Amino acid sequence: MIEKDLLVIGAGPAGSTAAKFAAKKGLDTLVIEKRQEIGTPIRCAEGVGKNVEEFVEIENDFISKDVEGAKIFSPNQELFEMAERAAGDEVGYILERKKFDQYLVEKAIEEGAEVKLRTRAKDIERDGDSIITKAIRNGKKIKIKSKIVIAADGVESRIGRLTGIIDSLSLKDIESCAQYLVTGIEDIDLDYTHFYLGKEIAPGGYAWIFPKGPESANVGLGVQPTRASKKPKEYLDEFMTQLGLEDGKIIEEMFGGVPVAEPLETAIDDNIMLVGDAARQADPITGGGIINGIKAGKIAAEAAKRSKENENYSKDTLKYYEEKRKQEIALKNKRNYQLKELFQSLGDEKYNSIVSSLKGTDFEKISVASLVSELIEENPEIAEEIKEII
Amino acid sequence: MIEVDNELCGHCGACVGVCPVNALDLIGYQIELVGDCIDCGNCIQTCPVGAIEGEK
Repeated sequence: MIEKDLLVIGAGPAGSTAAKFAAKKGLDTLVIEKRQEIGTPIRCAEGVGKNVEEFVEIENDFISKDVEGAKIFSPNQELFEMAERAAGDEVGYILERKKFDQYLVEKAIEEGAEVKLRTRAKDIERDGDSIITKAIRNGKKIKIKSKIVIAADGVESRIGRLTGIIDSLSLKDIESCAQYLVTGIEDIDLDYTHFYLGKEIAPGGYAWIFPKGPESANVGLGVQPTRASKKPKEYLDEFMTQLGLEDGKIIEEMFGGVPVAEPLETAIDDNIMLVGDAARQADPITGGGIINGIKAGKIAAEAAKRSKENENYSKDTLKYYEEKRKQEIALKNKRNYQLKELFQSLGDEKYNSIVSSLKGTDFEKISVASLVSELIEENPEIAEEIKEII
Repeated sequence: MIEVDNELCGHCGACVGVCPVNALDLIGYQIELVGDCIDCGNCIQTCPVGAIEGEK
């Protein structure tokens, strides 16, 4: 039996960040990752806000593109533009996720964390004041005894559900996504990210073009399964045709499920904390989850250190994580969840009138807050709902 | 009971997250039935490529 202070399950950004800070704070830390390679397969559009710099030292190696802003298209193809810093968590840098994830794992290792690949958590049970995780490593059964488990096991979030902390995701709270990495693009402005709205393009979600290089971009979309009449891959093939990319040179195909859910009331239990997509911390409007995952990982590491100091691993001593993640993540996500619910309930005509009313505004000068007040002014019929949410 | 076409599957794990009885797991590049399926159809509806078929 392996014995550790902390077991982190999953080596995405949330898990690696938790491991890095926990190891740095002196916890004997093991990270297990079920895949054979960190960062693959990609299931992400790779966009991240520039505020990622607050958490990660930016190296050119994992930045594919530094974008200038966002172009947002209404269903009737009207366009408005936003400057990069106003546009939120999905605009700023487009990452090379494989390299980014690998970099974060390397940082965890530098701080002393141990990493085991091809190791899948299968079951989990309490044992006194510890917790035992049963895993399969290279086809063999192993047991890992730890004081704390940080479950960063992504959208699957089996640990959270095996321990009864959460239920499965509701179909209205997941975006089902398909994406191609397309090269040889000529007629699209790849200094900007592009967002497309409309129920014909991506019902209950949006389609995107996220530039990756001078001629290449991630072209993808997410749909809400209950609103979709086709599979995301079928919507994506149609979107490619609409963009004139039906003969596009696809060099990678990616798929994913993104939680766009209300923040959890509880993301902990005795000995356990959930972080990242496993805790449904992606922004419900944009689907961006990297920064929130990193924030959560950092907070969870501090909570783990405090419980080790107190030699108490109960839910009570892990409350630090709950309180901090509520302030730093859940508050905004709760508001954005309500806005998402409102936006999803609006029809294409409403999107058209909103985009139309925003055209010509100087977006260099405005923030998301002033954007919302503009929305209210131009669209009084939804003003009450928006005011209530904010 | 569902059937997964693992050659069509995109290995994203979305189906695992919406399974209310934790009956699915993404193991390597395979979606496997690891528990008792209740035929709710969530995974079928969520799969981005249509790799899961079944009664609902």
